[in-house]
Amino acid sequence: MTDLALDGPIAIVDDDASVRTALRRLLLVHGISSVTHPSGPAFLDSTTLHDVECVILDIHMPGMSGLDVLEEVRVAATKLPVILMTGRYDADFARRSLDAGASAFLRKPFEEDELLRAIEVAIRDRR
Amino acid sequence: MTPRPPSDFLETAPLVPIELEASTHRVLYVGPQCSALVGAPAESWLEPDFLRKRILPDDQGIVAQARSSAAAGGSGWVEYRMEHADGRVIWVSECTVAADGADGGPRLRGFVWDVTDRKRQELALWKREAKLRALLRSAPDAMVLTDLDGRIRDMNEQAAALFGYSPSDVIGSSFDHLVPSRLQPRLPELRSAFERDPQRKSLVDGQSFAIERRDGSEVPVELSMSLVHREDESPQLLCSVRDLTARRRMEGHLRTSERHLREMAQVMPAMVCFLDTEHRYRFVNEAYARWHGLERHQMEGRRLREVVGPKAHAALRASVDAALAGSGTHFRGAMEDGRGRSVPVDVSTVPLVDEEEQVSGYFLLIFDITDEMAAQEADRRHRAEIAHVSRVATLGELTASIAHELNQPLSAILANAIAARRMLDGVVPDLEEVGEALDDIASSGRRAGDVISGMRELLRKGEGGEAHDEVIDLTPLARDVIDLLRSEAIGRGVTLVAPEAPGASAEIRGDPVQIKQVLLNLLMNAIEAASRAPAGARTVVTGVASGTGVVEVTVQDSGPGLPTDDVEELLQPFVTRRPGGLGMGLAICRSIVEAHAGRIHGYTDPRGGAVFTVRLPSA
Repeated sequence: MTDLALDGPIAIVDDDASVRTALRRLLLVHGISSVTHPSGPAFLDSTTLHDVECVILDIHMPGMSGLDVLEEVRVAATKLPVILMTGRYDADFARRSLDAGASAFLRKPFEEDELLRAIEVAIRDRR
Repeated sequence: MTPRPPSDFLETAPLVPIELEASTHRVLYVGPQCSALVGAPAESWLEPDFLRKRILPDDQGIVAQARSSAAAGGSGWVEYRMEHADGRVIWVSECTVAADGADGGPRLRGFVWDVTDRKRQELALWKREAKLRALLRSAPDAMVLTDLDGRIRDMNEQAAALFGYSPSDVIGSSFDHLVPSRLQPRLPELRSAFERDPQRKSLVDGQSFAIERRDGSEVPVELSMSLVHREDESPQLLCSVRDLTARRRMEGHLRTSERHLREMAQVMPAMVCFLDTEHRYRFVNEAYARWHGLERHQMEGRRLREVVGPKAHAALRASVDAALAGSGTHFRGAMEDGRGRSVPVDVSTVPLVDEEEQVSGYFLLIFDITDEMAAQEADRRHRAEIAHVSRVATLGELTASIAHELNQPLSAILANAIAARRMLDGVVPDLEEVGEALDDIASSGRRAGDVISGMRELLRKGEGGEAHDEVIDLTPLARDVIDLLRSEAIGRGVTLVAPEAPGASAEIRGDPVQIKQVLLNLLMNAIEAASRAPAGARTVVTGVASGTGVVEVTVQDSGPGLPTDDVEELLQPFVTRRPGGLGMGLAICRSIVEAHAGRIHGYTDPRGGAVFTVRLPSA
């Protein structure tokens, strides 16, 4: 359990269903509710865009990548904190993610505390 | 006292008495038999123009000549043709002598009689003679007609040319003079053979007989004699003299070339032998004898099966039987040599067909192809090595994507495991949720396992480089490769479209790893090419189609198309269209596809992008 106090759910966007389910399950045991989306457009079109506390975006998705989604989020002029994650080993992703305005960057597979710390950083950014 | 003929003798004999005026040849008297001769009564004969009308115009000259001769006291004998009243032409003989008429005027008296039958026989004989002469003239060989004692009666131009004499020089002399003196004693013996059997034909071949030309040179000849029966003459001998100089020369050439062939066959590295229709060796060369560990003389005359043994005989049987049936064969296989070692061989049989189209035996040609097979095997291993190295290199390029494919299930596993642990630590554990988490872990674990085994398959070198041969459905195989590349495509913003299953079977036979390597290379190239297109227009479409006896896989990208129209060039090793590419991918693809009896083809689609098709024979 964590002492993170959130006002709303966290959005999880990943094309991989097993990852979405696992993250939703892990957040739930920490008392964090989440909404999941299989793609960037699905998330951007959803009504939850302005209701979520932060979004965890997979970079590596077909069609629209996590970085593309991040750009759209910024275009929509929201200050929604974004956590980017990827399973590809590319040192450049971390720098590019943070340059693009991500609050945190996660390398899959990541430990529970890495995830929670990233969320903590993201929420702090929002406030 | 001389007996007198009956009074009607002159008027009933088959001879027609006739009296003519000596200068005008007008008929003054003719016996009554004359009506039987030409079908005209005596009165008609007395008409001034009768004979001129009835004697054929061609013959009137000789008739007039004979009568004038008779009138002058010479011979008045002549034979001529007359036209009978029924239209027939008859031959008559006329013999007259000068006499004085009752009035003292000059007369010709004599007889006319019918000789048509004799003339006809003479003509037939003349025709036969003409035929014999024509035969003599037209025969290609020299022909000499002799009496039974060898006197030359006639010869043709060919004979004259052969002997070097003109016919008039030798007609009447003995044939024996045209033969070298040492051979002359044989001639009476040849001629006397006909006394015992007139039907036989005497023949002396050219090995032992010759004639002597006028210039003293000898010519080898084949002499044959046959008996000819001629009308009214004693039988004669027709001697046919065939000049064998050309044949001798040809036989000499043949013997030389046969000797050369034998010598060549002896030293040839191939094993050569000839067997007769009973499968007995009639000729073996050194190499063949050596192969069986025998001397050549130990093999000739022995039977095939006895020499090669039952195993090799079984391998050869169909081929040698076909050869005896007149068909040449060719096959490759293994055969035991004289030491019992199995040796890879290339075997041909060639039937020997004589002039009467009968098979008189067959040649067996065997090449030891151990070295060739070893070279092929080395080449195959070499190719397999290169293909393997290329697969390893390709997977190296895919490291980041493969890591991603593994990290996805690993991250799910890790998150699920931690969540489940936390749930179990709770006051009231939600065991149902824990169970679902565990199921998801198992599922992700399997997925990671699949990624690993897919990689392991591609990294496998294969036992001794041996290629597998199994039935492969190309649709799921293509999807497996696409799954492996999905992350790579996503990383480059390329949409990969997997093939729809075609209506018909898309099964081929071959090595699945090798075929995967072909698709892996083609798809890698296509993804790279498509990534150069603007974002949103980067696609690679894979299709599988089945035709009659063929399955076709197509990989089409939305990239800039091929850099050259010469696709052959791109299929060569070390030619690449990919920056940093080694240039082995397409060359390996081609080598693999061709080893599967298929074809690979590439072109630039006029609508944009490159298309590569691989056609393979259906299973």
